[in-house]
Amino acid sequence: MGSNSNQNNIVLKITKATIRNIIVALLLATVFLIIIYGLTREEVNTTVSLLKTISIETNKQIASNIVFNKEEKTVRNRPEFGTQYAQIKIESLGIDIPLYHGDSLSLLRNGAGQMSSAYFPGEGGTVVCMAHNTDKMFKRLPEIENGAKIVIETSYGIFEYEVYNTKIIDMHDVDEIEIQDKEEILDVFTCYPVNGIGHKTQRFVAYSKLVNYIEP
Amino acid sequence: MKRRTILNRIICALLTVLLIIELIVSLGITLLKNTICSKEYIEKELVKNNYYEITKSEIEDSFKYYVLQSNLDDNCVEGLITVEKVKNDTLLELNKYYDNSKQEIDIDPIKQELTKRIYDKVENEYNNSISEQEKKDIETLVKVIVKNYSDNMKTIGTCFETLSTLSKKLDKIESREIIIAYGITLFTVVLISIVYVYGTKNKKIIVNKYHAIALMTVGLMTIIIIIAMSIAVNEQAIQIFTKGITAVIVDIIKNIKLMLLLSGIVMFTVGLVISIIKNIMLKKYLR
Repeated sequence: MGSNSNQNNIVLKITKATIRNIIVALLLATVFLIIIYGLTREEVNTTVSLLKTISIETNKQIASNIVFNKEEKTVRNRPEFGTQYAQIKIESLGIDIPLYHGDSLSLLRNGAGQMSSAYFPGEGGTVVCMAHNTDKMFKRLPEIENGAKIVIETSYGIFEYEVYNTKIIDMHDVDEIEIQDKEEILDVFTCYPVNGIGHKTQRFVAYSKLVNYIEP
Repeated sequence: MKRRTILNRIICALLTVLLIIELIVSLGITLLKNTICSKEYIEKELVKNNYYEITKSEIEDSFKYYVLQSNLDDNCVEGLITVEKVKNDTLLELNKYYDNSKQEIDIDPIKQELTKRIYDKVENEYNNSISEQEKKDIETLVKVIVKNYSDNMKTIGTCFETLSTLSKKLDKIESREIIIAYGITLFTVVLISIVYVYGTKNKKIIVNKYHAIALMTVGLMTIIIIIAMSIAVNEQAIQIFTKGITAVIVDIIKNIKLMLLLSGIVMFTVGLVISIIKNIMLKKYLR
């Protein structure tokens, strides 16, 4: 029995000694990590920030929790880039397609895109939307006439715009699509001419003003 | 067994800190040289993640996008580029950064083939009756498509430009110098043993708690780093440039994390075993 108790004591001592070593190792690890982080803080933060920037959700839901204040003309909880947040309709041309925040190649395959550097409907500035000149998109846009209605239906309301001018511009004429914040204008454009072969260097632009807002 | 002096303990402790630093450096260099700083590793990852097939498909999609807007059928661009072409051009771009190669990708075959296909179509469907403006638009279309291809190819090179810069810095460390670094680490291990044995006058305890602590420290550090990385970033959600590049980068990050984790677990376990064995031997001698 004495020998058993002796053995138990030895096992206990060995366990204690091992745990002591683990605690020392843990403390040393913590100190080293703090020192390394201190020396490379900027690089670490930049890397993490960069990785977070490129980590985006892969399933984009339709943005529906946008908060709009009509009096202040503000749109909060703006939809993320790449999200479908509205439907754009031109009844006179039979156009009814999704509207995405953003204008990348992949988005424009699925619907109309909204320039992310311009304003959202309701913010009182220039809203710029574009789509391809294909059958399912804006092929009939050049047929639009002054007085025609363009409607953007969002989760925070329905915005009706009335066309007052159309123009054919060169694709590099950025001044012809002015981003301003004095009044709410909607510019929609597509590649022009819509028929004919080859890469189009012109754009057909329809300019319209906000004439009505319907609450959701 | 003789009790060690304070001086002996201090020397052992300092050597342990030195050993920890050497283990970190050795682990870091080994990991980097065998992964992101190795052109061969990158090439294997490209194959493993079907980068060439995915990229070929994505590029073809973007060609079709331009062609559809130009009132042409997308079969104009069907098979215009092959997986082999994408692979060869990707490797040329990688060689530019890793091997300082000056060779550029050749886009003329694509340009010539595409122009021929479009004009064949024009001859069949439009009876060659196209305007001068349309001829110019076709020329622009071909230029845009070809530029799209070369931009896509350059993207992978740009992506790994930073890594290749790091690779070149590590390349300056010759293999002989790396072996010397490992040798120094081994020497420190032996030195700790010598100092410890000298202090205790016990020649039977070659590995001791200082070796164990050094290994467990580095093991714990790598495990903590992996946990912190996993909390900070979800690599599965990463999307960068193209699907092909995303797949490769996500896989590389996962591999590095796995290698670090395994290294950490192995080091910690070996350290723990050494610690237990050393304690058992010490208690045996203290009876």
